[in-house]
Amino acid sequence: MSDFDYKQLDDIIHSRIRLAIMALLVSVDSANFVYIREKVKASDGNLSVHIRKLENVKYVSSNKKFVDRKPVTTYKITLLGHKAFETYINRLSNLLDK
Amino acid sequence: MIKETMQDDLAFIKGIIAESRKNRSASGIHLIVWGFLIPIGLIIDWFMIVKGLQGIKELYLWGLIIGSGWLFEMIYGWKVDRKKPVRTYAEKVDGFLWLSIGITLTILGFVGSSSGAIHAQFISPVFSTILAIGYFSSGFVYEVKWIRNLAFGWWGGAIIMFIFPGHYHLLLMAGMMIAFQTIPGFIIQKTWAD
Repeated sequence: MSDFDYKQLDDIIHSRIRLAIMALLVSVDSANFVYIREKVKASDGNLSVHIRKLENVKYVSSNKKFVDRKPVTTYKITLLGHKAFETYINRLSNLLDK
Repeated sequence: MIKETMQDDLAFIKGIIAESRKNRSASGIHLIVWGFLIPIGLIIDWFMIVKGLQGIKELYLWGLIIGSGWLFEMIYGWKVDRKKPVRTYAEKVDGFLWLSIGITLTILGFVGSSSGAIHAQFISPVFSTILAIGYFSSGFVYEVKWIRNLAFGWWGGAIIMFIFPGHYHLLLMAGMMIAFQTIPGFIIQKTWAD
């Protein structure tokens, strides 16, 4: 592995939009789909695809409920997601320090 | 090139985290409602004592006041809180802190006083010390010094009421509620409300 091997970084997190979702969710307790979409400035479809990828690896969990008869999905970062994000940041910082 | 992209990524992450943590959507409405109900109850209670109407009627009065407060909390929680698009860790901690304080005060007020475990004249200073814990912790959680400093007002008032017992407590406590709860509630509502 070279001193500057970007392959050390988690592929799942290492995408601008997923990185933004993770960074957002790591700093709050929970956020709904619309809030995340506005903050990361993504389209509905694009955000759905990327959130699903994070859900598939269990970095993010979702909770669906009805508010005023409208479905609302709320997302939270999981413990595994917290650890993965922390590892990602540490590796990124280490690579930059080299 | 890769290094520049990574530096950019790190700055991007820091930016999002900093912006999310700045999200102070705490509502002052809870402080305003309780800061309105409790002084009314305290002043009515003081009149009742002056007129010699102590006893079961006081319990009815406080049952109505506290019951209204909890009813509001339930309705507000259902109508507003669960619709919030985002919930910060600070809001979560603060919410549970004040919920536990509310339950503690309700138990002390009804069970503690009616069982005789807490003398009626010392309910206000005991409440005052507990409210101080709430404000001190909330100020710390939200990193707002003036909210934390309200605790010193509550602690100071408690010391006075412990040293000098008397029915004037009810009026002093009503004044303290307005100064250290109702007014701060309006300030928070004006500054932070969504």
